[in-house]
Amino acid sequence: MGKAPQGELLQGTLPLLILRTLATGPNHGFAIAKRIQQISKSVLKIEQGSLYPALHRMELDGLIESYWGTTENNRKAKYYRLTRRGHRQLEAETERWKAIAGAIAAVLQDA
Amino acid sequence: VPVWLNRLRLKLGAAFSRQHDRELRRELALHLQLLEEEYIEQGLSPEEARARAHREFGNATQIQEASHDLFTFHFLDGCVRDVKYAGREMRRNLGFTVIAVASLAFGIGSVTATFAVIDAFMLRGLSVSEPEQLLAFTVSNSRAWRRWSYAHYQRWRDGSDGVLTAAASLTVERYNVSTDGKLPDDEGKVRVSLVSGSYFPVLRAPIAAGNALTPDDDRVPGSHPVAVISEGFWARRFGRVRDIVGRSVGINGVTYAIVGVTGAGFTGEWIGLPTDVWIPLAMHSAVLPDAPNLHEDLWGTGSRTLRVIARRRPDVTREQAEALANVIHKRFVADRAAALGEDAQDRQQYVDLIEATDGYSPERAYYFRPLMILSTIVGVVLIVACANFANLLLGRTHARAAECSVRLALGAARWRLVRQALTECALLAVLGGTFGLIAARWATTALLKELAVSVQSVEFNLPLDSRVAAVNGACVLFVLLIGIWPATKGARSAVALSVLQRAQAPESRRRARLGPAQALIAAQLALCTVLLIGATLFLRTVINLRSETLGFARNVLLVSVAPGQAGYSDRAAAMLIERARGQLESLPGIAAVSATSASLLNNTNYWIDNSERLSLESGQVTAGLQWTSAEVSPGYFKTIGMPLLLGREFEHGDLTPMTARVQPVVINRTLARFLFGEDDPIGRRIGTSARGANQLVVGVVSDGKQTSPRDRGLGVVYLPLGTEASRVVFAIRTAGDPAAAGPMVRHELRSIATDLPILGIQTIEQQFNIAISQERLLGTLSLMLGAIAVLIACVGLHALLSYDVAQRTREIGVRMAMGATGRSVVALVLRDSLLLVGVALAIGIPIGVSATRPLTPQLYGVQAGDPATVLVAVLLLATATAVAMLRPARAAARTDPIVLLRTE
Repeated sequence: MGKAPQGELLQGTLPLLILRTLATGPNHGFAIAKRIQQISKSVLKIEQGSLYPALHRMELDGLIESYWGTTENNRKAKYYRLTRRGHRQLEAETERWKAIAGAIAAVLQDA
Repeated sequence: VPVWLNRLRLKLGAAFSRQHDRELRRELALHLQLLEEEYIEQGLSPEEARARAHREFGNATQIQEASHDLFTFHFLDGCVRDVKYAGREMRRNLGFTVIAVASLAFGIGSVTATFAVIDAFMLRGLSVSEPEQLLAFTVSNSRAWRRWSYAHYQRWRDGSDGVLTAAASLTVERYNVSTDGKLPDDEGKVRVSLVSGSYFPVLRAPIAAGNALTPDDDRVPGSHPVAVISEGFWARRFGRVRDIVGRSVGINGVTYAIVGVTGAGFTGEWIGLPTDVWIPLAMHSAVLPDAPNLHEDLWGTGSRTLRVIARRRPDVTREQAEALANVIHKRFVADRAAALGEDAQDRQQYVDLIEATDGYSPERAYYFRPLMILSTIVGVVLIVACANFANLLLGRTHARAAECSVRLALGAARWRLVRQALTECALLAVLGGTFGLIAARWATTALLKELAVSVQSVEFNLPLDSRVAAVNGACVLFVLLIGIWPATKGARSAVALSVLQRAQAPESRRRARLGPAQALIAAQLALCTVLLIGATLFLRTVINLRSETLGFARNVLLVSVAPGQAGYSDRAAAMLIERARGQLESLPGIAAVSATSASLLNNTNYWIDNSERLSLESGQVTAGLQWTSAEVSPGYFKTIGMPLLLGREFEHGDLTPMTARVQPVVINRTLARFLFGEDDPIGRRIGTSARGANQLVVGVVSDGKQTSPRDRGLGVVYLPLGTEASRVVFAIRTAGDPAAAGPMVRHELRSIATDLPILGIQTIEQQFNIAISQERLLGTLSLMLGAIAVLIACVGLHALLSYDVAQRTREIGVRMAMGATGRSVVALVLRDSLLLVGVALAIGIPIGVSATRPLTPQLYGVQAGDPATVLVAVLLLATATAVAMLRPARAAARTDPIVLLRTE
């Protein structure tokens, strides 16, 4: 239905990154985009706009919820925070990624 | 919170407020703005910063679209789009739509209407609370409710100690019921139920206004002038006035204060013949002055007239209630035997309590067969309509093949095409169903009007309620199921490339000779043959009945009066009748007036008891001939135009009391032949009662249709009109139009006795039409429904053939260019269709002949499988199909090769 995230981002990583970002506390879209760039050390390049369909799909899936708040610069912005389901999803996804990354690392070392 | 609920909440929020889109725009705008500010801080010019921000962010509109898309109901949106598209298509092909919807509406409408009638009459029970606890009293192995005496009822009422609570009722038709002291101009028939005080509490009948009758309203005979009326009566005679309680109805000079109105469609326990007014049984003698006084009949030997109905306690089973009822019954019989000194053993019967949930309705049996026949016919019509619908959809599939191919080639998903086709099919089915419901409403009204003039004057209201709507919905669903396959065939089988293929090799494939379309048409025509055979049988029955010689004149006016109902004693009634007869005879334009005790053609056939014996003076007793008797006044045979064959009519001197030793009688030819063969019957003695052969034959008249147009070989004994004149029919011969004399006769009778109940005024011809109303109804309906089915099938045939001709235009053009004549082209085109009709007849005729065999009791003068009938049906079908084939055949014959060449 929706378009897959553009750019070189691996399919399925964006939601995980969003979850990871929001695990430290609620935030608005711009800040989330900044954080993702920082965490990924700009390795993962995305069009910042494609963040939003991903956020909204996660909201529909009940992983995050939104509310209107004010930024430090006193602007009205839409904030997102993890739901209980989001927390669980983050844990599960982290485990999965660790397992995959471990497996790949093992394969690369063997070779 | 489950995910689906979360989604639904958010999507609904988005769907029903503009807020969501605004917030989405603000969210994206803020991001862009923050990015821009960041770049300005980094030292870029405002223009550059904006451009950079936009590049970094991506296509904002597209992102907004993508986000918006997440929050929409895709399925519903798709449905709305599909319906809109289907609506557009249907408007574009208006002819197709009208034919499809009309044929479905006919099919579904006739089924719905028939169900409405059957439901109201056959299926619906009493509209009271907990009807399953109600039991009716009858005797062993009888499904019909038995009538009981008041004394007997009282024992059950008082003896059952709360385990059973019994109620009694008795329904009569009255013609002199006034409302608020006024008699209506045309003595409407009013159905009055005399009920015990326990009736309403036992039945738990719903009351819309005021109060029900209570046991306190039924204590002292003759002193409870109160009444409850039905909603229908309230509307008919009081115009639904608000302050109905305290108004009054009057019968035989007694005024009854109305205490309440029943509601929720309750019209008494007699389903099909609704009660208008309920009056306490205590008023029995006031309402029925001519009936034995049931309160004084201590042992119930003189009058067994009451239906007894009881409610059992919920914790008591039917069997337990029955056992109790039998204990009480046995004691009553024993007590009666002791009191009257008769043999108790003789009167011992077992009392059965049967379920009364469905109410009382002897008419059900009478109408059961006609209604079953009718429902079979409408079922066939629905199948024909469905087959036609399927065929139309198939034709549409062919016409749409190109469109489907193009859409597939352009990348449309196949399931989208299938869904589209299904939506259109569903829309047509629903439209057909809706129009069917409207048609059903109209048809039931018409049907009831027809039923209402019939023998039993059935009246009941037919709400098109949820049950009828459910059947209507089921029909729509059925149509939809039938339609799924043909509707989606095109979308399922279309090939993306077929447009190109068609352009290259259009005529390489001949159409199959018996594909699904042809099979459907053949099936429709076969079913039509069956319907036409049935309709022709009914039609011939009506024609045969109509052409029967009655044995007397048809233009005689029959006026039934019932002085007994108004309380006239036998003597007073006899005097009144004689005075009225004389006065009517002196009216201008009236040639002769006679009187009889039994109305003619009254369909009383089923009362004739074959087992009654006739005795001769030799003491010889004979049985084996159905016979009936009637009392007639002097001059009766001359008045109604019944030829006297031997002897004489009655004279005034013959009016001897029943107790006379020898009573003169006139017999009809059939009876004379049966009793005396070729001997002269005049002066011989016969006996029709236990008193032996005390009747002297003074005359013989020719045979006539005494009780029904179907009378054949019925013996009739005519006795002098006696002194018991509680109910009499005047036979009036007029100089001019007899029907026109009706109002004058009514006026004259009114002036003689204001309160004389006039039961009906009609000519023998009208009476005859009423007597054959069931046959007429079946004839009319079967012909109408058959015609509709034939019309539907022929429209299908026409469409199929037209399509065929259009497909083969090129082939025909080439043939004509090569020298083929118009005639040979017509033959070519019609060959397949004629084969189709032939196959349909070959299948339909044997089915029709065997399917109409069970109709035998409904027929008269014609048999199922009668060759002439089959021939008529075949000719009718052949004519209809020939008309359907005419236009396409002509179009084929007129194909102009030159024109065709130019267009190629």
